[in-house]
Amino acid sequence: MTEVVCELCPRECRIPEGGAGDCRVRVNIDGKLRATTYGRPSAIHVDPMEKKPLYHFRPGSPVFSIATAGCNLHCLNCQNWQLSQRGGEEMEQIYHLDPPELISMAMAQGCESIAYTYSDPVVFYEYVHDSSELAHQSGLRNVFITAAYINQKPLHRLCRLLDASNTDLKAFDDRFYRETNGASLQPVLNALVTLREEGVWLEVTNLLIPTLNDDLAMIRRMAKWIRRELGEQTPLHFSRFQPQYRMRNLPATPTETLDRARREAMDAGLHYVYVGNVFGHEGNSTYCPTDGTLLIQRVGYHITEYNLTEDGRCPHCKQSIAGVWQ
Amino acid sequence: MYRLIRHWHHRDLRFLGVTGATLIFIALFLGTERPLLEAEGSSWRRIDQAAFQQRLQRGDLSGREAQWYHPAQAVEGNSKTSGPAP
Repeated sequence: MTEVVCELCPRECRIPEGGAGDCRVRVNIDGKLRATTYGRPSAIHVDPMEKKPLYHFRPGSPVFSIATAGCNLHCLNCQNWQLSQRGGEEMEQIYHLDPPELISMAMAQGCESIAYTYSDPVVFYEYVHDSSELAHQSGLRNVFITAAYINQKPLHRLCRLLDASNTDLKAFDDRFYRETNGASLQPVLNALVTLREEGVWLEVTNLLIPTLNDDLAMIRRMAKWIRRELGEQTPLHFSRFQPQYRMRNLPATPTETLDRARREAMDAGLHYVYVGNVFGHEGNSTYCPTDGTLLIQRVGYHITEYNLTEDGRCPHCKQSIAGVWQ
Repeated sequence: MYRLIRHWHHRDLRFLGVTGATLIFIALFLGTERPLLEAEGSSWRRIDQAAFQQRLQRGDLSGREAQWYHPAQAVEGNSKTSGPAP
């Protein structure tokens, strides 16, 4: 009986024959670890880039979005738990879509990018890797929507193929990660720094859950860390929590909490701080950090006004706005 | 009366001893076992083998070899090897 040790994420699961990793989808068959959801997504959609959310990366463009079963986190408030907290053998719907077919389908749908998203793409790493290589050869971009609970070596190898990432920073608190997500904070911070250093366009999302991670002092520490380690130009999205899955005992995040968090992060020196999951909120839109000009107005996932110049500058003060606009 | 109290005291001490040992055992389990599960990744899962094999044979699941793993014995023998070339 050959046990194997998975080196992909910080859990480093030791898996006996016939067993799966904690993610449920990396299975030891006869002493070899198998990526059982390779080319077998269970969710396929065409989304606007704003849904990821990526606000500074090819705004308004359609992105072909896929996910397989499984996840290496176990968030009590998971919004995709039917997908993420199940193994491949438990899924009703599985599509057969190997990388070449995935690229063809994305192009046929008129998409300019592929997003690896919904569950966590870390657990279908090999599928992401091979698809991303083909995507680049075909002129498509790769977008990685993740909680970034991944070891450094696999991440480094993947970064050269990634164009953008929205990474969840679930709280600036290790205890929160352990109790709410079944993970730990430091590997996520390391991954964020790596993504930045490797030149992947990076935006950060922080879902604010009432009473659990909405402490303003913690938000201030997080914002300062982002400014210091990732740069003041890094967009930060404060997202509204909705009660679901195993966390139905808490109310939705009040808008005032999101407003306070946004102010705190901007006071800490971040230039682009957004509010998500609140329809029509002024914090959905992009403003010039120098003169406050409205640059991109968003309502929901739709862009209703676009004032950036072709080379991504404020039309009034000509301040260059960080992002990938073309 | 004195004998009764002494008798009670004796039984109670034994009971408290057993209860204390149990609580210490539980505390040790919660304090050490759980972080070990998270940090060292012994958290593998059993899967429904019949359903898994059926989906695998039908092609709904892939048998593609993963990257980033090594056999456990290699570490025990202090000669860590990579799995298949990533």
